[in-house]
Amino acid sequence: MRKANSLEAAQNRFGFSLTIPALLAFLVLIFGPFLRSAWLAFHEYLLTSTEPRFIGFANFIKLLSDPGFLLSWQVTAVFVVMTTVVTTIFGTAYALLLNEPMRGRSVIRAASLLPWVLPSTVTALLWSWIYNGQYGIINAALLTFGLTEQPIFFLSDNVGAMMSVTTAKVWLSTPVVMLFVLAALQSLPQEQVEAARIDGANDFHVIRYIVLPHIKKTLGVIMVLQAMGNLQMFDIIYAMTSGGPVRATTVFSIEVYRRAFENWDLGTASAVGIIWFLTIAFVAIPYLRSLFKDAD
Amino acid sequence: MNPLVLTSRHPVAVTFRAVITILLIGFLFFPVYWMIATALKPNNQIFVQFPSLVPTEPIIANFWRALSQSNLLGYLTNSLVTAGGSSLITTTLAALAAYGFAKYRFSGRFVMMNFMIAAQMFPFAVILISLYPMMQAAGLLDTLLGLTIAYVVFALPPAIYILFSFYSRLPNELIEAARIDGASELTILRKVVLPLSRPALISVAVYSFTWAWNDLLYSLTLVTSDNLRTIGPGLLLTFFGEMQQDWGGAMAAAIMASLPAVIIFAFLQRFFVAGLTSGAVKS
Amino acid sequence: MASVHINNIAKAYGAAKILHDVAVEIENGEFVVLVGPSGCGKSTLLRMIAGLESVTAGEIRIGEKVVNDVLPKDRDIAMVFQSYALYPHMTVAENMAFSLILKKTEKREIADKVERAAEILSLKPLLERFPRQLSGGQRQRVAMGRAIVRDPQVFLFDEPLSNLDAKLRVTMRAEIRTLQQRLRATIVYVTHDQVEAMTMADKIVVMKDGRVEQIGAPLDLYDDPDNVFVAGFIGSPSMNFLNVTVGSDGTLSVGNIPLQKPITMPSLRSSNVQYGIRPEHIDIDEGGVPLDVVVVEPMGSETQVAGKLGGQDIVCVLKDRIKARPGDILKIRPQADKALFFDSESGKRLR
Repeated sequence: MRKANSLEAAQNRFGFSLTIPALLAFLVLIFGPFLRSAWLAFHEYLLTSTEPRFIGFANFIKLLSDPGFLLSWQVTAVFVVMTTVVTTIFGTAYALLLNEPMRGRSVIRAASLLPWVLPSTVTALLWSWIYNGQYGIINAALLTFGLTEQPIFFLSDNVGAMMSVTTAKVWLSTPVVMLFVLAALQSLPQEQVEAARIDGANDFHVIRYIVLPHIKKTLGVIMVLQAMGNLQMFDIIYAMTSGGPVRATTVFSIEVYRRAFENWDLGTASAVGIIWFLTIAFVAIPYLRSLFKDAD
Repeated sequence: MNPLVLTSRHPVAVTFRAVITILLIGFLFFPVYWMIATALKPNNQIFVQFPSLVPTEPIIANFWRALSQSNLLGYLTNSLVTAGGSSLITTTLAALAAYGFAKYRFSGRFVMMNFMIAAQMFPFAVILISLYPMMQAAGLLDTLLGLTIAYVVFALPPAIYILFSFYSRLPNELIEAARIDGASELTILRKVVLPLSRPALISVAVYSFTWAWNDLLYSLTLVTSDNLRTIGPGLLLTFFGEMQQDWGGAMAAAIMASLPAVIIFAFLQRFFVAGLTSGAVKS
Repeated sequence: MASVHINNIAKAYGAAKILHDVAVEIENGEFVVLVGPSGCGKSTLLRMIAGLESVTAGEIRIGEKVVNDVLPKDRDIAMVFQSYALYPHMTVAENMAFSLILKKTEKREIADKVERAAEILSLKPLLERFPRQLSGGQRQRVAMGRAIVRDPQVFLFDEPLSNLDAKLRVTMRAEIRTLQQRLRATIVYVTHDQVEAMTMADKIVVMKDGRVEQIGAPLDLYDDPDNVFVAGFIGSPSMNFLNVTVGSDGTLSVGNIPLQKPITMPSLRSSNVQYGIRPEHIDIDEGGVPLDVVVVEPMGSETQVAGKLGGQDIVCVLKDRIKARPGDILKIRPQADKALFFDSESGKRLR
């Protein structure tokens, strides 16, 4: 640094020193392991191997012709799209309703976050019980209303299992989306709504032409964040179905877990992980771009 | 005050709104109610095709059974220790770094910070593949300390981002006034910045805590001894396994497993909600 | 108290030059106001005196000591910020005591000094309150109290009144002025409001685009500006500027209308001359030049008339009540001895 800036230089050295602990933790716990996994993706490394053996792209080539892996790609896509879209719709609707003055609103709002602090295994237990094939309350309802003749064993059925885990995840995330949308609504000027009313707009018009454009950016960020989170989902699915029946709910995280920690095929597991990471990165691009723009 | 959006008093609109409200609130709250109701029922009311919606003769036997037949209290303690410890570490590291990034102009800070924030894209399971042998080499496999350290992975990047946006909004003039008042940079941090960031720090601490508290993957992998298990794998291995048919006990255990975090959250809720949404959403 | 010497300092952020070669002498006990439009570099200059910004070139001395590389805390200065920058988590008393505690001053002495400052600023009943419980004017006073307790060599004020309403601004203006006389303090005060500058300063430094345009006592700047910018910036309503044609015999005309009797001024040869006349230096005169009235604003004590003179805008402030209405013609006459002349290309005063 030039002498003329020595005042700032000393301050900035202090500022930099504050970031060092986090930087070290980041390098050791996150970036280092991630890089090593990326490196492993190009190696064969089994429980029986002593050393990772370099095999180039062989893991990837093997995966792309593996129907099991291709299915997990598809299952992940279905799970992520369903959960993200449904949660956003539910969360937005819920926010609009809670935005209205009503008795006990603040209590309901606070209590709505309850699912979020439950351990994910509790959520999984809860929905497993509700979807239970013999004594579940959903089956009781379906039978009562004559919608089915026989109880449905949801968790042992391909579609039913996917539906169950999706429901659980939507249930978990709807309140969080509600909170964010509610916060975005707060910054909508009342005058805009009133002006639209005077121009003859009804509730639907107000939502369509005033509210949605106003919260569009927030909704975009929420959807990307959710998609990134849902792409990572492990706990609930593993607890409810272990990725089954067979592979019907085997998303990427479970695919990696099984290959790495059940079969100890770390090379292939890492290769799945890299493909998984690239998928997340693709989804995350717009989000990161907006973050970086804010920071600069 | 939020702007009023839905004001139509037309009967169709009113009915439509009411139906949606009831459906959504039912969807969000019924499962919790059903958990409690089931936990209070004896088995002969649980295992029926058409269960009654309210427990007619509520009992608490399920709770005793859940406590005596599993190491529930041990799991809870382990969860509190690891989630609490990692939350403390994450919040401390993130607060220092975020303040440094937000208020000092050293070269390379944007690159460093963007890089850390971008790490939210790294799948946890992929990191775990290589974290596992590291923990093994460090002798931290199957220890609560190892799990606590590993949990820092989850929330560090978002915590840095949330606190960065908080500190960016802290007026520079406050720091400059303190500088003129004769405070060193460290004194500014201790006497001015940290006291002012208490709400933000609490919200980030709760956020990091929740991540660790909800975990199943890392705990399942990095810890194998039953007495070191956290609540996630503890419940999973007890109630999805051998006792799978004891739904009354499972629901009772689920309630008890949820209580600590629910209580913590109830106290800190007001900090948390504002801190989280203001950090992440910009209008 | 001490003097402040600013010797040809410059400030640049990379290629962007904020200040060029600024030189200001501030006497011991003097109230100096830095004034100019936003972006003129006045706040940067103040922050450089405070030590919050580094100096790119040149030298700043406080008393005899060069302070270019001295930390703010070692410069023996106090600063009042535009936003007051009170510590929200400390009471009024704690806010004022903070710098003394950091200096490890004795408890008794701190209490005395805080008490005395609170007395001067009538803050005594508010000492245990938090900043959020105070009104804007009270916060402003606490910010000054924080500065007073330190007994600094120099007080620095950065637009301290701009967050107050108009009425309170007038009160605080007088209060700061009284305080300065009582403490015999050296004050450097930044504002964009020329009224504040005129009413408070011993010496005004007018700045524009990172340069000093003129330095002088308020009325000197008003009566004898060096250039069009200073002439137009100081005074409200601001000076009228008319493009005039100078005849070979010294006649001045706007359009085809002869403005005043011929004058002889050697520098007045150029054809590009701006004629400056303050609104209050224009009188009603039946034998005068015709003004097309556009707006009449009766203020009670005076009447402002805006109109066109030979197609150019002009504003008059008249002591008499005028019956004229838009569209009327009013005969006016500028006071010839009050007129100023400027080169319309360089903006420099022609003397």
